[in-house]
Amino acid sequence: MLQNEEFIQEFVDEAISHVTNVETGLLKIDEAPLDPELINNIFRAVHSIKGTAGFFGLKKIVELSHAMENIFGEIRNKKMNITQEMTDLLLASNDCLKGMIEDVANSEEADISSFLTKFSFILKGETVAKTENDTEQSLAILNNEALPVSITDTDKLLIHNNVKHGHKLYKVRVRLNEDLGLKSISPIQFFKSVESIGNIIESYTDTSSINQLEDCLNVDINFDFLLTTVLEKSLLPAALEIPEESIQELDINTRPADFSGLLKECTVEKSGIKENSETVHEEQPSHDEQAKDSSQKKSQNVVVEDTIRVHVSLLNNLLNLASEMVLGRNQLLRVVEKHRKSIPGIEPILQNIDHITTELQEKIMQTRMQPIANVFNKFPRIIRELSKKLGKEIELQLEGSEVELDKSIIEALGDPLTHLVRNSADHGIETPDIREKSGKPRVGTVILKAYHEGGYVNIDVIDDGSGMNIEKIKKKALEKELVSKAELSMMSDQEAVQLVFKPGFSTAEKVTDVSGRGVGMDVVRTNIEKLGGTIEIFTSAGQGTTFRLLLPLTLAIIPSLIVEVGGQRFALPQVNLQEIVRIKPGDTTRKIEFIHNSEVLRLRGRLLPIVHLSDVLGLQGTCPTSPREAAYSASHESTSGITRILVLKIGSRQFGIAVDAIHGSEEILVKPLPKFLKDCKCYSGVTIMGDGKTAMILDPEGIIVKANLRFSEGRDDVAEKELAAESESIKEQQNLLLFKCSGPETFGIDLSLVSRVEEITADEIEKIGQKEFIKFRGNSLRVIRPEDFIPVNSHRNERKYLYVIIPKLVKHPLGILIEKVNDTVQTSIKLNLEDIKSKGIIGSTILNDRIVLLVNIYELFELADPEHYSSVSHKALGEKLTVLVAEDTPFFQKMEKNYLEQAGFKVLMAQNGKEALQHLQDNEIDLVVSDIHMPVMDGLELVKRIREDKRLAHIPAIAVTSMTGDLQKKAGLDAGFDFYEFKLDRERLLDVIERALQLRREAI
Amino acid sequence: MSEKVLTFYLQGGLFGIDITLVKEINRNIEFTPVPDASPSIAGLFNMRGQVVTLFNLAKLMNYEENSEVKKLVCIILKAPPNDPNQIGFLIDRPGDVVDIEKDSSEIPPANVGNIDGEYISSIVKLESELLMIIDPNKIFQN
Repeated sequence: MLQNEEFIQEFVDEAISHVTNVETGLLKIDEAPLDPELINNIFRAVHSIKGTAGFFGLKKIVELSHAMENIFGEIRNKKMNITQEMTDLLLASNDCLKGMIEDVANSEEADISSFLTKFSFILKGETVAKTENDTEQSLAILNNEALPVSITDTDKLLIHNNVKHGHKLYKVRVRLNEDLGLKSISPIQFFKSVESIGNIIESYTDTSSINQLEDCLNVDINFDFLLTTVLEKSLLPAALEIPEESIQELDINTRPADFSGLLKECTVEKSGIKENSETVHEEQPSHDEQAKDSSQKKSQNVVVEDTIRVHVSLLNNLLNLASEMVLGRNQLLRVVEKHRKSIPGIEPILQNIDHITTELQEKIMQTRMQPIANVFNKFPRIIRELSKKLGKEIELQLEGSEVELDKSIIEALGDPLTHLVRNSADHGIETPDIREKSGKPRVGTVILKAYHEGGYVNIDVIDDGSGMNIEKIKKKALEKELVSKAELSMMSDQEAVQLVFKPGFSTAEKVTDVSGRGVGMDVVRTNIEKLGGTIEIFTSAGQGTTFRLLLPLTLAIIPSLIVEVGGQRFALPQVNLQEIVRIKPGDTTRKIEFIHNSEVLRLRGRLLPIVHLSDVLGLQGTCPTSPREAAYSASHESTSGITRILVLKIGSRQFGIAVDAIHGSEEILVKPLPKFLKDCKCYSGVTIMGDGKTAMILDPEGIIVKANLRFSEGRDDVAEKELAAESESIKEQQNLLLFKCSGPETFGIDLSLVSRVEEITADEIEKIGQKEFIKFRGNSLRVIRPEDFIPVNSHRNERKYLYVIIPKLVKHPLGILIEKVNDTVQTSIKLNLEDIKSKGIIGSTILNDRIVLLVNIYELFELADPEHYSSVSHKALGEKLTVLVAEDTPFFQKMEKNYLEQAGFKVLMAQNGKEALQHLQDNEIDLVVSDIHMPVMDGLELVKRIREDKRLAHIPAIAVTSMTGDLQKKAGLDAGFDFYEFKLDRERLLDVIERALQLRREAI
Repeated sequence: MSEKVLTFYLQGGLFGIDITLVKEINRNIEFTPVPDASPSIAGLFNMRGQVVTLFNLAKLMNYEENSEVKKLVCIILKAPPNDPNQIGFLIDRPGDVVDIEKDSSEIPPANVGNIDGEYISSIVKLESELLMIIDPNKIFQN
C-alpha cells in the first residue's frame, strides 16, 4: 500500500533527523558534559524514535532506542555521569540505530544484543570496560530478562513528576488500522499530537500479527501506551480522535501488581511502583525546579513548526512546472502583443503575470537551497575518530554553516570535503610532540569555512599543520613520471603544488587507511569540477595548508552559449569557452589552414586544432562528397561566409569548434541526459529552450574524445609558456614619471628607479654652503636641481611647494628637486639618442606630442656629487675587457651601454640572441650581459647555446631583466646564467660583473 | 478476464499496448532530433517540462520505414514523474481501445521470428484482423 509506504518513509525521514540530532548532541557532550538542555534534547530525540517506531512494530529499533533512552534518562536525572567510554558506546549504538532505520525493512534482523547488554550493565552501575569482558556471559542473562519494554525507574520518576504537575495517567489503546489507517492519519502525526498534549511514558505494540512492515496499518493491531496529560478523560477522545472506550484512566497509586499488568505483555521491573513512590518522597524536587520544569514543558509544547517536510521530487516537479510557466508566459506575451492596444486593461495584467512568474521561478529555485551545515555536521565525528586513530589532537572549527547551496551540490560535496578533511588531519596536522617541538600548540586546528564571494560560494579547508613539502611533491612527481625534469625546473612552487591533482599522485609515504590510497586529489578535483567549481591550494611550509573550493550557487542553471549547426541548436556551457573567433572569407591574416586533412588556425602564434561540430555529430551537410567541405560550405551559406570558431579550453587543452551560427548566451536549466542517450559522448545533458524545444548540452570533454583529438601534455605546456612569455614581453615597457623643473622642459625618469616622491615646502630647504639639504626621515638629504647640472633652461620661480624625487638603487641617495609632477605613463619608448645629447640625459622621446628628456640619474648624480659617484671604483674593472650586451629595447641598450662604458668596458651591442652568438663567434668576448625576452632568440636560448659550445662555455653570463620574479630568476639560472639582475641597478650590475669576472679568474 | 488495449497503426500493421502502461497520446508534436544518437531514437521532446525520449518504433522493430509520411503522433508511456528516462514512441495513427478476452490471444506463432517475436508478447485474433500486442518493457529495456 502506497499510503503505508509514505508513512514509513515519513518515519524514516523523521527518525534520521532525530538520530542526527542525537549524534550532534553526543559530540557536544564532550565539550559541555553537564548541560541539562543538551541531555534533554537528546533524550527527547531518542524518545521520539522509540515512540514512533512502536507504531510500526519495529521491535529492535524500539528495544535499542529504549535502552539508550534509559541511559539518557539516568544522565538527565543526574543519577549517572557520562564518561568518554559511554559517549563512544552511545555513538556506536546510535550508528547502529541509524543503520536499522535506513534499512527499516530489515531492521528486525539487526543484532543489537551487545549494545543492550552493555547498556544494562551501565544501568547497573558498571563500567563499559567491564562489560566488554563480560559480554559472553551476560548474553545469557539478557535472554532471561526479556527486555522489550519495561517500565524503568526513569519512567516511574517521570510519571510521578508529571502527576505532581497535575497530570493524570491514562492507558490508551489505539487500533492502528481503525483509528489511524482508515483516517489516513500517519503514526508520526498521531505521535506528535499525543506529545503535544502530554507525555508518552511507555508503549507497546502487539506485533505478533505483523508479518511485514507494510502490513502494520492494514492488520488491526493494537498499540498501547501509557500517557500522562493534564487533560480530563472526557477531552482526550476529541483531542486524539480516538473512541472514548480506548482510554482508561489509571490511579497513580495502583498497586504494583496491577500496574505491571497495565501493559499486558510488558515486563515490569520487579521493583515496582511502590518503591518508586518512596523514591519520589525522598527526592522531593524543590519548588523552583518544579516551576522551571513545568515552564520548560510549556515552552516545548507551544513550539510551532515553521518548516514542513516536502519530498524532493515534488520540488523538482514544481521547478519543472515553473519553467513551463515561464514558457507559457512567453508564448502568451508573444501572441497577445498584437492585441495589447485593442483589449483595454490587459496591459497591467500581463505585466503582473510576467513578474509573478519570474518571482515564482526564483522562489522555487530557492526551495532547493540547503544550508551547508548538512555536510559540515558530519565532520566533528570524523575528526573525533581520526584524531583517536592517528594519535593526534585536532580541533575542528566550523564557520559559515548557514551558507546555502543547491541541494544537488550539497549532496555531491560530501565525498570531496571528507577527503580534504581527512587529508588535513592525516598529512597536514603533525603529532602533538612534533607540534610542540616546532613551537605550536599541541592541539592542531582544522577549520571548515564557507562564505559567499562574487556570486560563488567558497569553502576553505584550513589546517595549521606542516604545510606541503614542495620538494617531496616534485620528487614524487618525477618518480611517478608525471612530469619531466625540464618541466619541473620551470615550475614555480605554486605550480608544483598543483601536481598533487595529477592522476596517480599520492604523497603519503605509507598507505594509511585514513587517506593516501593513490586515488586522491585528482578525484576530488574531478568531482569539484563536475559541479562547475574549481579548487585551489595555498600552502606555506610549517604554517599549514588551505584548500579553497569555489562553487556555483546552483547547479541546475548554468550560463551557456547557444550555437547552431546543421539547422539545430546546441547549448555549450560557458565555463570552458575562452573566446570566439570570426573568420571572414578572403581574410589573409586569419584563415583556416590545412595539415593533411586536419584544419588548424593560427591563434596568437599557436596552432589551434579546429573541429567542425557538424563532423563530430555526424550531421550531414549539403554536399555529400566531402563532409568537411560540405560543412564548410554549409557554414558559408548560412552565415554569409563567416566561419565562427569557439575556442574552448579544458585544463591545458585548447581547441576550436567551428559552428554555423551563434545565437547568444542563455541561462539554461540543465536536465539529466536520458539513459537511452548515454552512448553519445558529446552531450552532458538536455535543456529546454525559451521556445519550448529541447536542445542538447554539449560536453567539450566528450567532443575531444569523439573528434579523436590527442593532446600531448608536454608540448602543450611549452606552448603555454611561450604564450606567457610573449604576453610578458609586451609588458616590458617603461613606466615613466614625467615631471618639470623650473624650466619648460619635460623630464622623464624610469619609475623603477624612484623610491618615492615627497612634497615639501620651499622653506624646508636649508642651504649649507653651495649645497641644499632637506630633512628626510630624520636624516639630512642633499637635494639637487637637475637644471643646475644639465644644460636646460632655468628660472628661479618662488614656488611655495616643491617636490623631491627620492631615487632608489643608488648608494648615496640625493633628492631630485622638481617643481611639478605631470604624470606617470606606461609606454614603449622610441628613444632618440642623437638630437639632444648631454651628460645626465639618456636621450629624448616624444610623448603626447611633447619632447621628454629622459634623465640618467647616475650621470646626473655623478655631475652633482663627483666624490661618491665617479665610476673610478669600477674603472679598473673594465680595462681591456669586452662585454657583449644582448638587448632589444633601445632605452635599456643605451642605459646598459652607458653603465658599462663608464666602468671602462668595451661594449658590443646585439639586438637579440642570434646576433649575440654571431658576435661571440667573431670576437673575443670576456663577459655576456643579456636580456631574457628578445625576439628571434631569447636570452635563455642564448645562454644554453653558449654553455653547449666548448669554446664559449667559460664566458660568464649575466641575465638582466626588467622583471624580477623568482620563477624567472630560477629559469634563468637553470638555463646557465651565472647571475640574474635587475636592469637599471647600475651599482649592483657592476658589482655582479666584478664578481663574475673574479669567479672566472679563480676558476682559471 | 479481459483487459483493455490501446490499438495503433504502424507501417500498415495493427498493434496494441496494454492501456495501463500508457500515459497519453500526443499529436502534432515538435521534437528535436539528436545527432549521433542511435537511429532508433527519433529525438527528444518537451512534454510540459519533462524531456521525453521519442523512439522510432518502426525502426526498432526492423520495419521498412515509409519515410514519406511524417509521423507526428506519439504514445507516451507512464513513468514516475521525475524519471529522466520518459519514453514515447511514434506511431502512424492511433486506433481504438478494445477489450481483449484472454482466450482470444496466443503467443506469436513460430514463424514470427527475430526481433518482432521478441517484442510482441501475444497476438490477438480479432474478428477482422490480427492485433499484435507489444511488450514495451522488452522494447525499451535499453
